[in-house]
Amino acid sequence: MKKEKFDLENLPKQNIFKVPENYFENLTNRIEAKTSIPNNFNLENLPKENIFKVPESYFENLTSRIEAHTSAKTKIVPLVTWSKKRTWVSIAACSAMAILGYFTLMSEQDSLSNEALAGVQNKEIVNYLIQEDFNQNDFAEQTDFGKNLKINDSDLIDNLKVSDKDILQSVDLESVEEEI
Amino acid sequence: MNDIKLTDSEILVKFAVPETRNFAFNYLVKTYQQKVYWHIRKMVIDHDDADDLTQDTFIKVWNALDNFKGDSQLFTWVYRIATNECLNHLAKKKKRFFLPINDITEELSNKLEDSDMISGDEIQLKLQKALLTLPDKQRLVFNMKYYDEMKYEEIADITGTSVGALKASYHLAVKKVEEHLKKSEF
Repeated sequence: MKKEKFDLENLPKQNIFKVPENYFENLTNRIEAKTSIPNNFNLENLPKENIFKVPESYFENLTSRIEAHTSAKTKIVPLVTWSKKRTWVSIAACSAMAILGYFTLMSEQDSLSNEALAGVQNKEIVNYLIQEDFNQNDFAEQTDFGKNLKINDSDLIDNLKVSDKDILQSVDLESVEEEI
Repeated sequence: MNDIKLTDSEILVKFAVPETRNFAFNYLVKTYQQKVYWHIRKMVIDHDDADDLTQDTFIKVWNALDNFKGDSQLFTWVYRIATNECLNHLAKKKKRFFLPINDITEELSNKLEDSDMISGDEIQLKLQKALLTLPDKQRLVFNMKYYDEMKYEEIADITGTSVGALKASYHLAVKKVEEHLKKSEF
């Protein structure tokens, strides 16, 4: 059998590919929509698209991540609730304590307490008084005891508890006679 | 997504009871997390910022839900918190960097181009860039009306703006965006 020779030139040119109906009528619009803005551009004709992406499984994990924050912040209901009356009573009590504390501390600071002097030896006190040239009258004037009670010389001699004999020995008799 | 359907009042009742509190909150988060995220993401563009703000929004919801009086729908109340988070975030950003508005716009615009978390047609990218030229509140209104297809009454409830003012704002936003796109070069 004789084989026919294939001649491209004599073959009728034919397009075997098909396109959807009205494809070319809409193609211009679709290309314009993707590449350029026509003068009669209208937002209404533009398909609404979400161009933003999220990581894979983002929304599946989001709930648990939010709950991790909120579970740590679970509200603790206080056992004692706020009360206006209780607040005022607390303020008054604190004020009373503060005033009492103030006066107590101030009065303690004004005088030396017995406890503070207890640790000092008598010898040291005597030395201090001699050094400062304190006499009995000065001490009596400085103390409330001295101010409230009038002390005369005979009382002082009585308080000294010294015998008449000792006094006579210590007094210069000649100078006494001269004064008399 | 949730299989059980709960109404707002049912969620609130369950949230008030300590034993069902976590269940109610879990339901609420699962129900609204995507809406809240996308609402925020369209405003702040960056995913990490949107992620932080979404979590902050729901933490605030958790802390304040006891005080929710039910004078609006739960989702508009949640949207309101998310909206405030967005606006505060953008305002802080402007203050923090002492940047004029244009620089913030440029920064967000660069994120649109550089981020691998964004993919879309050139025209969609142009639209997002055009939206960045709008003031924040107007952009917010545009997003809620155009993308979320919310009613003006709902937007009014969220933003605390009158319906008339919102209509005017949206109309103006559309005109601005269309003009911006017509002028832009490809």
